[in-house]
Amino acid sequence: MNLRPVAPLLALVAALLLTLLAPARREAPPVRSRVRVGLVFDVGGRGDKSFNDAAYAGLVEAARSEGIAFELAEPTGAEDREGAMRLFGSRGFDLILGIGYIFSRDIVEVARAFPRSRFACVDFAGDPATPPNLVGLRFREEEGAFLVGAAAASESRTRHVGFVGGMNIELIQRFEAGFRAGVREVCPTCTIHAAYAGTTPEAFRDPLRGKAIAASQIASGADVLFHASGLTGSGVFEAARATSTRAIGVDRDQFDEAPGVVLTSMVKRVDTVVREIIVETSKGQFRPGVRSFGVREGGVDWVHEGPHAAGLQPSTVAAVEVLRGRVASGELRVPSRP
Amino acid sequence: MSGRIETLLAEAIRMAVPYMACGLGAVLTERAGVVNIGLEGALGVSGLCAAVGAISTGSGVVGLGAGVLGGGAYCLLHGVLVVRARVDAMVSGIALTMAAYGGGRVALRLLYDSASNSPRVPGLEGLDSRSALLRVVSEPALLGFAAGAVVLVTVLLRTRLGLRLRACGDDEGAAAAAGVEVGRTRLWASALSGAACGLGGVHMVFDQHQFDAGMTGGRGFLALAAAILGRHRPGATLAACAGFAGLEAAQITFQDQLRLAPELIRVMPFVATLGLLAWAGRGMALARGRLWR
Repeated sequence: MNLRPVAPLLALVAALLLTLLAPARREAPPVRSRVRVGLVFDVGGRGDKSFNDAAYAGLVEAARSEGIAFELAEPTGAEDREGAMRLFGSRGFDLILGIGYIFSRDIVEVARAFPRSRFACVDFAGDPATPPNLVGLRFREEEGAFLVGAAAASESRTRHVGFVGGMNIELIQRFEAGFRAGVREVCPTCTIHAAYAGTTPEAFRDPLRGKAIAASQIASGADVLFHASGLTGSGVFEAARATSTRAIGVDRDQFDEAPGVVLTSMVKRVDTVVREIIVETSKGQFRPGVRSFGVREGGVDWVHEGPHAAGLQPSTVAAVEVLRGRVASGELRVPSRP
Repeated sequence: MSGRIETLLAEAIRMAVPYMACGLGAVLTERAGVVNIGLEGALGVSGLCAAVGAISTGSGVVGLGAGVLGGGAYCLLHGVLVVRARVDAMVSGIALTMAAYGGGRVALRLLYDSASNSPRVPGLEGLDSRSALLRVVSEPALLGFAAGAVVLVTVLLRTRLGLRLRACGDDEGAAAAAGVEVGRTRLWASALSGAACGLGGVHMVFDQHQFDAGMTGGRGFLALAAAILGRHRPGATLAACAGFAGLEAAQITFQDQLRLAPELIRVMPFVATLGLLAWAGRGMALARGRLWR
């Protein structure tokens, strides 16, 4: 093969790839303090209007209150994820945050390699016996899903509700388990239609499949759908909009994605938890291990106030709030397996 | 239950459009003798162009035009690189796919300050019917694709232009000797192939009312498999695409009854393609001209 004409093309590709790598950007406030925080985003990166953005919001808030310095990295693949963490580690950052379950394995190795830095992983799915400089942050998603499950059952007129999962993994099955338990709590005879978009990470960004799954559940009679499927969920909203069905958002308040369609959302307070970890670390109170945030700790919640919850009947809000109290007090245990 | 069957059919048709559009694109470019494995990128680029066009003007028609032009321009670029600059078709195809994927994310960030998706796209609405099938079938983007497909297949099989196009792929030496300008023919074949993919990208975005980075989900690659399965004949390729979409829709609809691993179903198109290649591969390589009508 004659290489000469290929060379400029390769150079172009290389240049494009380099711009995509998005080298850790400097966004440090002018005041330089001792604590430096590095944050590595999950696939999707900033602007995903989901938990990457939530983590960023928590970071900014903590930076403002604690006067810490921070840098960001937006990796595009697995190698970059680990590379970005190692980069922060080799530069002696005090706290390095990995946003997403996908960091679970790499972050343990990187934490061992850089014992002087501290690490935190959101949605940590690894071994609970973490290295002494790593804290795994878990959410009891099933508790939040339980609340919206109860809400879905109260709002359903057909007594059929649907669950659309993204990738079929333990994390998403927890949402399903909680949702099922919530529906059963309010309406033991209701029918639950549950389906997953796939078994690879692609399943979190396939709105075409999301719409198809939602359409088939709606055809089976479901009139309230809950999704835990990332971008795939926009297809669920789209199917719901076309058929005047109602849907429940996930991770954050998704009302703006489809006003009038989104009944409520199950909210994961990644911002609160990220802020808390940074504040603790900057005060020298870092605690390793795995920590779990549920309804009681304010880690998960549901949207039930203000204009974004206007579609909910007052009786639904009252009933679910009672259940929330019982979950928070520990009187009601929500199963994490379907 | 009949509602469920109707929905299954409607979803199969809806999901078939991106496959069919890219399958047709693959047929057009391959039959002219330009291998293009970057059709996945064409799907994404045209989807993005359709979204940008429709959002910035508020007009679905402009979006449709922008999507078709964007897909055409993308594949024409591939054609220029391969035909004129003599870049290896595999290298160009891979490079352009990667550039399309990365470029899509960069464009989303620059235009809409988001890493993942565009704002709501004002598409072209079909009938507001209670019937799922009628809703899907009456979508202007789907009708546009159907019309485009009929035109392109007719051009390919029934016109002098199509004959020249096929001659370039079957035997470029003979075509050149007969007075066909092989290079130029291949360029417009590439552009047409991109426009075909573009109709799929437009449908995808108008159907979702949104462009998401990565929403193509490998459908352009699967369409290449369909084109091989259909031996680059338009009818058979479109049928293979419909089969893939039907399989996908069936897996989704009967997921809770069917206790079959979803991986198994997703891998079936590839197994079928590989099986066909193993069974008939040697003959296909030797007798391209004879196998293609």
